[in-house]
Amino acid sequence: MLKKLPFICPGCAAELQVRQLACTVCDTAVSGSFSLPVLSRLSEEEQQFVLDFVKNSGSLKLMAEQLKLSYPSVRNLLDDIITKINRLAPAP
Amino acid sequence: MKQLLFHPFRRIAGYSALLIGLVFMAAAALVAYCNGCHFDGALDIHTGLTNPLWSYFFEALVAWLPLVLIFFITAKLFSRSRIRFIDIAGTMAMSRWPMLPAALFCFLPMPLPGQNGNIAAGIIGVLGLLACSIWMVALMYQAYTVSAHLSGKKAIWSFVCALILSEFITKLIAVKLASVYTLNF
Repeated sequence: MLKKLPFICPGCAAELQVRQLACTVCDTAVSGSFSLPVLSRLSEEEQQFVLDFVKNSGSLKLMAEQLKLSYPSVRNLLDDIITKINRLAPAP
Repeated sequence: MKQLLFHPFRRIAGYSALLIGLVFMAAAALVAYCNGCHFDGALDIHTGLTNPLWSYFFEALVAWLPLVLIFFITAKLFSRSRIRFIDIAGTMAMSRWPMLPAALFCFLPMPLPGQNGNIAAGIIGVLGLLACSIWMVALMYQAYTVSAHLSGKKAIWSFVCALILSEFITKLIAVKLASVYTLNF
C-alpha cells in the first residue's frame, strides 16, 4: 500500500515540517527543519491533476477529454490549484 | 441523467453546448409556431397570437444573443479567470432547453383572457411553465458560474443584475421589432 505523505499536523492542524532525512543505503541521517515542497502540500487529486496537465503538454482541451469534463470545468480546477499554490508559496 | 438535466455544464460547454442549445431553441420555435406560444424576452414565456414562422426563430435569437453579450461583459467585469466567449454563448444557449417542454405545455387548452378554457389544464399549464422558467434560470446561473468561475455572493449579485438587465433589453428589442414588423405577442 502506498503511504500518504502527511503535511498537516493531526494534533493542531498546523503545517508539518521535515525534521530528518535518512539514506537507506548507508544509514546516514540529516537533521534539520525543512519545509515540504509546494507540490507535496497539494491534495492527492490536485497532485494528479498537475501531473496529468504536464503529461498533456499543458493542454486544457486534452485534460478535458481525459477527465470527461467540459473545458471551463477543467480550467476552473486549474484556477483553484493556481490560487492554492499562490497561497502556499507567495511570489517574492 | 440527473446530472445531464440539472448540472450539464460540468461535462458539456463550448461548441457542443452551443449546437445542442441551438437545436433545442429551433425545436422550441417550431413547437411555438404550432401553438402560438412566445419567448419574447430573456425570461418571458406566454401564449398568444400566431405570427409568421420566421418570427419565432427571430424571437429565440433576440432572447438569447443580448443575454450572451450582457453575461459576457458581466463575467469579464467580475471574474479574474480567463473567460471564453464561446463558453458563455454555448452554455447560455443550452440553458434555454427547458423552453422546449415549456412550449409543449402551451398545447394544453389553457383559458386565455376573453376566451373559455379548461381550468385544470390552466393550472397544470401555469405550473408547468413556472417550473420550466425556474429550471431555465437555475441552468443559466450554472452556465454563468461555470463559464466565469464565480461563486458566492459575487456570483449571485452579478447574475441577478445581469439577468434583470438582459430581461429589460431583450424585452425592449422584442417590442421594438414587433412594432416594426407588426407582430402580435
